[in-house]
Amino acid sequence: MNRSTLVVFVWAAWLTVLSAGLLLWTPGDWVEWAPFVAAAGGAWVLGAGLLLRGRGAPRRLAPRYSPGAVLVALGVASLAAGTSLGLWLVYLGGGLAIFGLGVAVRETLASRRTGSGAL
Amino acid sequence: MSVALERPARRESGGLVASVLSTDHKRVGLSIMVVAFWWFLLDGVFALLMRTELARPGLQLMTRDTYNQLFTEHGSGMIYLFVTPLALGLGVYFVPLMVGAAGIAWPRAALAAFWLLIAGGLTMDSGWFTAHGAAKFGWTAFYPLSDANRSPGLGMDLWIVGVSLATLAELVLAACILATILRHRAPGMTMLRLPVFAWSQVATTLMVLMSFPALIVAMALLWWDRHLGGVFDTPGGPAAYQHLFWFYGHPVVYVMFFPFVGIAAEVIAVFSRRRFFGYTAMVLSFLAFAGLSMSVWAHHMFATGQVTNQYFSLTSTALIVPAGVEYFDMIATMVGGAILLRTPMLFAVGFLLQFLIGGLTGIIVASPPLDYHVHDTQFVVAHLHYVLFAGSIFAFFAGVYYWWPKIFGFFLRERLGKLHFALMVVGTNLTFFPLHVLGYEGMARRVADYSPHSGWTDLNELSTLGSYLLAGSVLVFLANVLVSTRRRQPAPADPWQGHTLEWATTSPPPPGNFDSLPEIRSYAPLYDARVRT
Repeated sequence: MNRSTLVVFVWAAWLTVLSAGLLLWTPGDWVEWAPFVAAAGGAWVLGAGLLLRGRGAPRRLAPRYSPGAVLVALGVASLAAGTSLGLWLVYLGGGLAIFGLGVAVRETLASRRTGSGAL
Repeated sequence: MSVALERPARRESGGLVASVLSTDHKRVGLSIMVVAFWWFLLDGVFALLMRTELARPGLQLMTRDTYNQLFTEHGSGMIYLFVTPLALGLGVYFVPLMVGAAGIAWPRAALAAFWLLIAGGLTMDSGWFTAHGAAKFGWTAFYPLSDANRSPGLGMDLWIVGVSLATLAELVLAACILATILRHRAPGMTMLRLPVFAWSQVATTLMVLMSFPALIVAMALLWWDRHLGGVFDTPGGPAAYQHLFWFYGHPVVYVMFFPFVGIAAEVIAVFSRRRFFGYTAMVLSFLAFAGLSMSVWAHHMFATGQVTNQYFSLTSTALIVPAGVEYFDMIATMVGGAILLRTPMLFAVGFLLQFLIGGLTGIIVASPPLDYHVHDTQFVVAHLHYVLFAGSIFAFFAGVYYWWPKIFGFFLRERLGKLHFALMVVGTNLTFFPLHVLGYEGMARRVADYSPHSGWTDLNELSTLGSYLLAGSVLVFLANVLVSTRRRQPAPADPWQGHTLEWATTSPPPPGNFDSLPEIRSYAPLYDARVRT
């Protein structure tokens, strides 16, 4: 295990100790301790994920400019705003997000083909 | 000895397209900071309007309803759209440089997050243009005040969506920063050689990842409750909402604090011409502090009578220990140093002294019996502004004056910087210190009016005067930016004799960040290189 993963596990252990303290103090009131226990669990999952992936995975080139990423973001935002402003915006946002994902995939393939882009 | 790096040689065009579509972490980070600063200016104007209203008893400028909208948008904007994004924007820009990386992890996700942040902010503010106006239930949106009956209207729903989008953006940015630190450090840059600022970002991003999802869940449930009902309208519902909200709402205070401690620590070490004192203790205190700060959220709920006061009071008081270690380290770094009182150092010292007031009043509100007395009063407003404004914003400006030459390749004017600092110190303390007394005497927060017989007029006038001085100090800063940009004083790569890797590259840094890196044997590789020669 490398040190960066160890940091996350130390953090997870610290959250576990603190959340266990709360749990022992208020075992019946799950609303009070549940978010904290969930966060501690999340930290363990993050550490486990890092452990499984290992360090130093080769960096892939990303496109220098990414209209696809912007379209996805605007699509997601429109979709979310549509929950208040109307179903039409949900459809529009969903469509935009899917289109943006397509653009993002094309960008990835193009930058891999040409070997240019941002690290 | 330096290590040559293989980096793709390329030039990046300037202009609008580059600014809005570039995946370069420096452009994304800078864009986040600029947009966040814009919201600081907008929400600062809201604060001025509120302070003007409060200068005298009675309603002079606005209705109570407008006042409610103003304090909601002020608090929401400052927290969701200014300080938190700023803390992460600094990380997006400087963490890859400090760890010797060529870029940030998942650059397209970082770019998307920037746009999500803008969309979130615009959605939140668009409530002003709806029939019922903007949200008016405070930045916390406590239930049942925020339910569909008590807070009807589209503006409230747009606020919920806006907060969710901004929070999602911040989660993505945190993941990018943490992944950069954990997986893309330069050869030789071990975890215990990370600069203090980078460690502050580790603590910050871990907290974001573990606590911010609670807010997204709270917002989703609130939206559901407003439209379909049946979530929080139960006997324990309002307390459950508060638990979810504050599980985000307290850690976010430290998200808005740690990166600025990191900046102050870097600035103090560089302008004391010494290595940072007690590096390992500082690192451990960041992790201990961050964990503890996730365990204190319910001290905001002491007055509800529905939380375990003993546990939350104990953990809240325990925060003194890591905070004390950090203070001790920063002061000890200055002791015996050749202190250079340039503008960044002035702001860093201002941060240290003024945050102390916020920290000490924090001990008061961490104690349930004392908290019952000052709960929901102006005392709490004073406490949180001493933490976030007198603390974090001062350290932010320390970072602005410190890193400006690196980002733009020219200096900000020193004299105007010192004037900015002086006005800001006086303005900050005039604005916020009187609120301690007003709160202690019982003046409630979130009120547009007070009795003319309360005896609170003089202190309110003083506070309003201070807020104008604060606004003046920000104008001086903007004038400084204008003057310095028009008549540039070019900066070399390392104008301050910095300690960390961002000073090992050109000002501004090129795409890919570095052509070569110095040997990394500690958290201060440039300082080491100077000592060796």
